[in-house]
Amino acid sequence: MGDASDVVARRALGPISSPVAASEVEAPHPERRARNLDRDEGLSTAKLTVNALTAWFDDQQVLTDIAMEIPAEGVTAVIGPSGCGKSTFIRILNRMFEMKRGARLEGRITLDGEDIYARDVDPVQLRRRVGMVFQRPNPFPAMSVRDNVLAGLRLTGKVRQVKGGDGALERLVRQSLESAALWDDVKSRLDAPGGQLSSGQQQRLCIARAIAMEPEVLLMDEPCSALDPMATARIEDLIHALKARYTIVIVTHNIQQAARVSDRTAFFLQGELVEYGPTDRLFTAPRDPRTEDYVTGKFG
Amino acid sequence: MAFKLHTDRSYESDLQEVRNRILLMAGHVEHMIAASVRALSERDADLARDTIAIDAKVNQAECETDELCLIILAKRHPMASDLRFVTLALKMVTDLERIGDLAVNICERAIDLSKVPPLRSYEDIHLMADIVQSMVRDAIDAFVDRNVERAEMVIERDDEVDRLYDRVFGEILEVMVQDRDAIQRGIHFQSVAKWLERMADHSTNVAEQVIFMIKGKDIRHPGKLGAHSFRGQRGS
Repeated sequence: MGDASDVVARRALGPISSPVAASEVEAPHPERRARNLDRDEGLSTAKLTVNALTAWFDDQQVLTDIAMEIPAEGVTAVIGPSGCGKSTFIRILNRMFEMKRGARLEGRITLDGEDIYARDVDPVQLRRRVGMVFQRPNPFPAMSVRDNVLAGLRLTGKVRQVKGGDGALERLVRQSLESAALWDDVKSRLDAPGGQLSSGQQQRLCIARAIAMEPEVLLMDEPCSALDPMATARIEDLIHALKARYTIVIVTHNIQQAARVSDRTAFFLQGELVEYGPTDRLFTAPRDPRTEDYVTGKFG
Repeated sequence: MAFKLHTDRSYESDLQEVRNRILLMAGHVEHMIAASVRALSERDADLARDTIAIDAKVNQAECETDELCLIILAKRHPMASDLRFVTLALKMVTDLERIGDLAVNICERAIDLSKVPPLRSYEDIHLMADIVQSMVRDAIDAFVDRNVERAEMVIERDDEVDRLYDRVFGEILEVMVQDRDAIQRGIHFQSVAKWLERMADHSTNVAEQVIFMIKGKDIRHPGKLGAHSFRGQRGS
């Protein structure tokens, strides 16, 4: 009978952590494998479907054979280390990808079953349906808060479709600002320049601008990376509120943020989709050792 | 198997610290189980008192491990198997601490029983203690080696302890029915057997938690809870 210190000494120390034992991971059904997700993991009708997507910038391949369904409901997070292709991926979803020189892709991406890269699809019209919020708040600094909200409508000519004159536009401005949880902050200074708002307010102004276009999908590319924790919390709270009305896809390098705001998470690595599943599972019991290494901080 | 360390070495060292404290705590507890039953059978009150004194170290290890885990949760936001490891550690120390308390109970009875004539052979009690001690040891080894089979063997041995407990309880009951003078000592013995049986239950809890840590799958109460998964209730 040894004492306690002997017990510590005699036990050779192995790894503290590792992914779920390989023998415990059920092999995906062949039909599911194509989508890299499990039907029984709470996925429903797809809003966006990506099949056999491979993308290049000139000769450099940046995405490889991505297959992924993004359901209409809830928030889908895309995570991965810098350069993994996550931002490229969401820029493909609203055809901003093709605006970069040397960009080309193969594969099929559909929105409600329609190919968004079909010849007759106007990218500008597509971007009305699939709005985007960027990493750094980018309101027009000299333009008033009101005009910032309406900027997208004006630039696409959609403002002419709003019936009811100035009163209707004012209502749209208010509704958009309320949806972006910014109305109370700016209602008394709608004519003030957008550049005078705080960073967090500016980002919510950008969200209001996107919402004013009445999109179906909101893409968010690192929307909080330039914000302080309080402003970040407000954006995350807003994401929880907006997901009832919009399909949200958020790219973030902050894995805690992905865990907090999303319902599903996709992990990208070196241009490949490694794992895609419910956020609750992916952050507690990932199935791929590469996901495990990334979320536990054993990378590089 | 080659394994990767955390990129942040201070995080790796925090997790190692939790594991070392659990191992130290388990070592104290294993020692207490064996010593408590030896104090009982050898009617050694001094050994019983020395063993009771070890419980303070177990309690201290529980508090320190809890605190360390809370700090890791607050500062590191562990994910995946790290998260399962830290939550397991929080639960495991509670079970180990309870086993230590039960060993203290046995020691207190050993002190009382050392002053009165022996009741019966201690063979089955020793057998129970040996099995329980091996269950704690194997549960901790399974935790260290990430060995599911060893953890499953711990769970299987719980039935053996339950059977021994039923036998000891029945035999002592028979002695008490035949000899009224043996009732007080008999009740003490039945309590000792019960505490050993409870120790086996706590060891089983630890083994189940180890399996969760390794597999990421909750094996407690199989088929008895219905759709208990919080994950399932939330949907996606």
